[in-house]
Formats: sequence, structure tokens, C-alpha cells
Amino acid sequence: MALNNFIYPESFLRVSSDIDFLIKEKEYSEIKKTTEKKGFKESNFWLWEKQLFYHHYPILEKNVNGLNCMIEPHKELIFPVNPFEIDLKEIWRDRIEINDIFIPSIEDSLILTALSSVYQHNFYGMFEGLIDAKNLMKKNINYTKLKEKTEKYNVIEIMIYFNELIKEIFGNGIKGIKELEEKADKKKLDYLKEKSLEKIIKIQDKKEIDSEIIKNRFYWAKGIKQKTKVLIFVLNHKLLSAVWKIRKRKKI
Amino acid sequence: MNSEERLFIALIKGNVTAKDYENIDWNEFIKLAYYHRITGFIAKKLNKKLISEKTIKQINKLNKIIISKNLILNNEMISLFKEFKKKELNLLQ
Repeated sequence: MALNNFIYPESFLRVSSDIDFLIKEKEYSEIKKTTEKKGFKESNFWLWEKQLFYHHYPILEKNVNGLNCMIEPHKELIFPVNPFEIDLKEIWRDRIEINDIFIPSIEDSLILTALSSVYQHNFYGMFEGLIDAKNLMKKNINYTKLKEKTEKYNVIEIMIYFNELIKEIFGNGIKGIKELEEKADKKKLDYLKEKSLEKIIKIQDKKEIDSEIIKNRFYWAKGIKQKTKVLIFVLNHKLLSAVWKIRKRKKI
Repeated sequence: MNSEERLFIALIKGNVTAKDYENIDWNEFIKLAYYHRITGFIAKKLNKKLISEKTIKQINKLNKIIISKNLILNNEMISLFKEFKKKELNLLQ
């Protein structure tokens, strides 16, 4: 939502489903207390307790005029494993303040937008990400910093691919990203380039999206340890979803 | 690409022609815009003279829902973040 107000002249144009924020573990209980004073309550606690490698604390909910307002207090940005070298400390350090709200720097926002579209959500909502990027590009970007972060966070291939889509749609890409091509892993780049504009525009059903997300997470996971963690995460999630559905059916 | 996808891309690129509006299944088109989470953006770019009254109403209805939700979420977020700031709690949105 903060990104909304910062990059969109008319923030209502963007679809918002919940309020996401990243918190520091030691501040969670105080943050929870504050939200509870504002009428939010923890939800799905039972389900959350049984999650392995959870990336956010229990969802907090509040009903406002019939709308279920949800807050997702994140403890991680990339989950269940971080095959990249996203440096949360650096993201915290470089944050900027917009109307009392802290958001990642423009350079970090661009990288996180690309990662969210290409990796985390596996192209679902891709065009939202591309329009976000176009709007971020109108801001004062430090291109040297952006290139350094792209290398440091090990997201060269993701940024090159994302940049090519931006160029294909809007004509101009992000300055300096193409120069990183010689440092890119060709196999990873080819894997991404298989997802052409014609493919990612197609509507996928939930099952297709879920299976693609799993495939994608497996592909990027580094070594047996990370791949095993992804497998356990997926199996745990599937089991919990099935139990959740049965409980819901019984209630009905 | 089908005709709905072609119109969708042309609107984003900003090089849409009247021909792009031909043979559109508007229900599918609205689904596509919603799926890619840019209904409001797309609605603003559409040439309303080339669309039926029924479709305009359908898009406006969907946008009203999105805008109401946005306003409610925005209000809640602003009020929460003011509290967090008072207590010097660190959050990144």
C-alpha cells in the first residue's frame, strides 16, 4: 500500500488485497499489541502453528464495514529458502520514509518487484510488477547502486529477464542491467527466457500456478539441503490445506 | 495471442487502435485484467466509445469494489503506522 501511494499518482488504480509488512522478530509482540488495540485479531492460529519454515507471523484480521482487512507480518521476504543472497540488513539500512511509512529504497524496490513477479509468484500478477517497475523507473534511481545490488543479491538473471520484458512492453529498459549479461549464468537465463510474453499473459488456474511455483522453487533451490527444505515445505503445506478443507466441510 | 490478450498488451504499450477492440469477449478481457491485478489501470486506458454500456457498467462495478477496498486498507494502514511510529517500532512496508 505504501508503494501504492509512492509510485502511483492515483493509488486507487492498484489492486490491494492485504497489508504486508516486514518486521524485526524482537518487535513482534509490541507490534501485535498495537494492532490488537486497533481491533485486529490473530487468525488461523492453529494452521500457522503447524507450518514448517513459516515466513510470516499469524495473519491479523479486522472486519471493517463488511471487509475483512488482513495484515501479514512478514519475518522473511523470500521463502521457504533463499537461493539468492538478498541481504535483509542492507534493505533495512537503505530504507526510505514516505509519509511516516518506511519502504525499501527505490533500487531495492525494483529488485524485490522483479523477484516477487518472476520467482515468488511465478508470473502471477506479472503485469502489475511490470507497471510498478515502469513507475519506479520515473524516480531518481542510482543505477550504479542498482547494478551493485543486483550482483550482490545474486539476481543477475532475474533482473536481465525482467528488464527484457520491460523493454518489450515499454520500449526502454533499466539503464545498465544489460551490461551484466556477461556475468549471467546462461542456463538460468535460458530457463527464464522460455517464459515469453505470449506464455505469461495466459490465465492459469490455481492448480497450474501452484505446480509452477513448486517447479520454480525447486529449480532455483541450491543444493540438496535447500531442495529438501522446499520438498518438506510443499508436503507440509499440502497436508495442512487438505486438513483445513476437511475441517471447513465439517463445519458446514 | 488471442484478441483479448492483444488488446490488453496494446493498452499497456499505449499503441491501441480501433481494430484492437474488434471481436473481444469482454468477460474474458475483464478476467484477464483482474488476473494480472491491473483492472484500474486498464479501465483508465480503455476507449469507452468503443465498448458497450453493459461492459462499462461491469468494469465500473469492479473498480468500485477495488477502490473501496483500497480506501479501507489505506485508512487502517495509516492509522497503524502512526501508532508504530509513536512507539518507535521498525517496520518496512
